[in-house]
Amino acid sequence: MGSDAAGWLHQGMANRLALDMGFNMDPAVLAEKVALPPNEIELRRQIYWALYCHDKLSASYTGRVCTLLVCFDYSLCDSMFNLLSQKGFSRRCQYAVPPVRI
Amino acid sequence: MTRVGTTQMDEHHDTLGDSSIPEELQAYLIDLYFEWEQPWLQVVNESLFRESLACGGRYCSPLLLNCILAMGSRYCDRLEVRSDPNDSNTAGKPFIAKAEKLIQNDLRWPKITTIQSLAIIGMVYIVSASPTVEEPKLTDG
Repeated sequence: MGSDAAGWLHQGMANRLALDMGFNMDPAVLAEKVALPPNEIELRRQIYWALYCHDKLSASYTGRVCTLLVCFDYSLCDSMFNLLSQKGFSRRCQYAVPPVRI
Repeated sequence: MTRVGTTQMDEHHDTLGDSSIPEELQAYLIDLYFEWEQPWLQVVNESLFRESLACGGRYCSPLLLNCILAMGSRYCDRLEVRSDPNDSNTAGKPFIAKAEKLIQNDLRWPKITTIQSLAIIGMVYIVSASPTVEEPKLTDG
């Protein structure tokens, strides 16, 4: 495997793991579920944005498409689902807070 | 994603500092990383990393350390960081080889350091620059 492709693959793994661990989520939303020390919250934010910018740079360098596409504000999503559950919708069909592995 | 036959890494056995690398070289490569790579790929918090390296905290791991040493090696002229002393493009390869072995174990229980390590390894591969196939020619001549 050429170096560009190997680099792209590993960077993609980093991006997927970051999404899996909820790095793109608003820490205020996460704070309700799990207590994180402030320096860790800051580190998670730093890593997410570093990966996001790196994704853009790598995509332009290698000529591939970006993979971190949407910076979604999950706090909005959360309040929408709260409203739905008041109306009787089951929470289980909603997005789950990504398991935060610490 | 379990693999039959791989040995379970014992976290306590792996000291955060690699004893096969001279302390001085390790410190030099880490300094090179934070001097030249950190300004534009900021996946590591320097103070958290250095504290954890010194006292076994959770912001450093053997995998992350090897990745940082590999990237530091790219900025280093010394022959001992190369897998082939005559080829400067092999700088960092010994550390990458170690890191690739550690990745499989880390992926079973991913942590923050796993993500940081993968981002750094990705960058090391890209700067090692050896494309597999010839780029397609988009224009004639």
